[in-house]
Amino acid sequence: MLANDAQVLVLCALAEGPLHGYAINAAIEQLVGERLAAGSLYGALARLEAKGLIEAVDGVGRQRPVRLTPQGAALLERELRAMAEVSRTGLRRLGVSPA
Amino acid sequence: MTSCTQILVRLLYPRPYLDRWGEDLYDAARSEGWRSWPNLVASAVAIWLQPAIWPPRHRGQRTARASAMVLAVAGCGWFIANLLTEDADADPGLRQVLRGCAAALLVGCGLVTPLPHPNRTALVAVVRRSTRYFAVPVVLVATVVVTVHGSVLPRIPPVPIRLAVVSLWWIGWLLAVGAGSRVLANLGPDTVIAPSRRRAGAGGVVLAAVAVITGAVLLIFSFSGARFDPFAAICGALTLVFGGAGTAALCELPSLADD
Repeated sequence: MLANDAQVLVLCALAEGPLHGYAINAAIEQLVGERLAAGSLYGALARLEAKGLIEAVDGVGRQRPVRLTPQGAALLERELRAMAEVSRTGLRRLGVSPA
Repeated sequence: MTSCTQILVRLLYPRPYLDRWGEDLYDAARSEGWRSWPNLVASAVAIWLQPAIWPPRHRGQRTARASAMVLAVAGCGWFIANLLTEDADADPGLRQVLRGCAAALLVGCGLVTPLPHPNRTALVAVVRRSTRYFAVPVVLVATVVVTVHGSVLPRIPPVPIRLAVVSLWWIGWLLAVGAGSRVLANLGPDTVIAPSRRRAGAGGVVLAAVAVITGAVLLIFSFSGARFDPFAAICGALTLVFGGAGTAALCELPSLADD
């Protein structure tokens, strides 16, 4: 499992391709309705890069976009499958049919 | 113009982290304004407690930084424990435990310390860097030794001079702890051979155990006297917290890349 939600959100934001910090936060806002605070966002990026789950790509100007590594993509898939399973089980126990 | 947010970012975060993420972090924090400050502080504390995730300049630096952090925590705990129990009527049992901790600290240091390459250039570089970092603490401690044993002072010196000499002695040792950590964290691969992950792990376990035992001893000491000693209790609790953080940093090492 990943350390926290911020890291999962960043990986989700990067699932469609490389993004820089501002665009990652915009994608997260689109996904969950609110942005990560600056310290939390760059803390998560530093941890993910240290774990080899994301990597920098050559960018235009000062900002360097990052993208998922193959390990990052594999881990995100595992995390999302596990979350989907938890969600399915929880909804079933509540007697609610998944949409 | 330099803004408060920019100063805060520069002051709070370690240099290697700023080199990689500083500008982007500042841009994001600036757009949030003062509301970003509490989160910046909390995030900076977490980053300082995880030196292994700072971007490394070379292989082995993550291990070296995590080891240096645990060494600093254990060393500071040992330092404070000795400072607190020096003149007090401490339990002889506690003193015995502290002596054991000091011995274990040396073992831990031996395990996490990188060894210089077996050539003259590397050896000279290590000696030169160590001399630079250790110069001030060695001069302070040596000054106290010469002052006390060289008949410089009267047999029973006035209280202010006694306090000054004792302060110099302990400041010297505190600086020595810091110097040891800085040397350990900053020696490059061209100069030294980093300890293997297994050796560093074993050293880290020993040093983390020293930090935890020292913290526990401080807590016991704070309650064992006739009066509760809040300073000892706070130092003990902090040593336990930082010892735990150091252990967590070492446990995280195997999941990190580029080391």
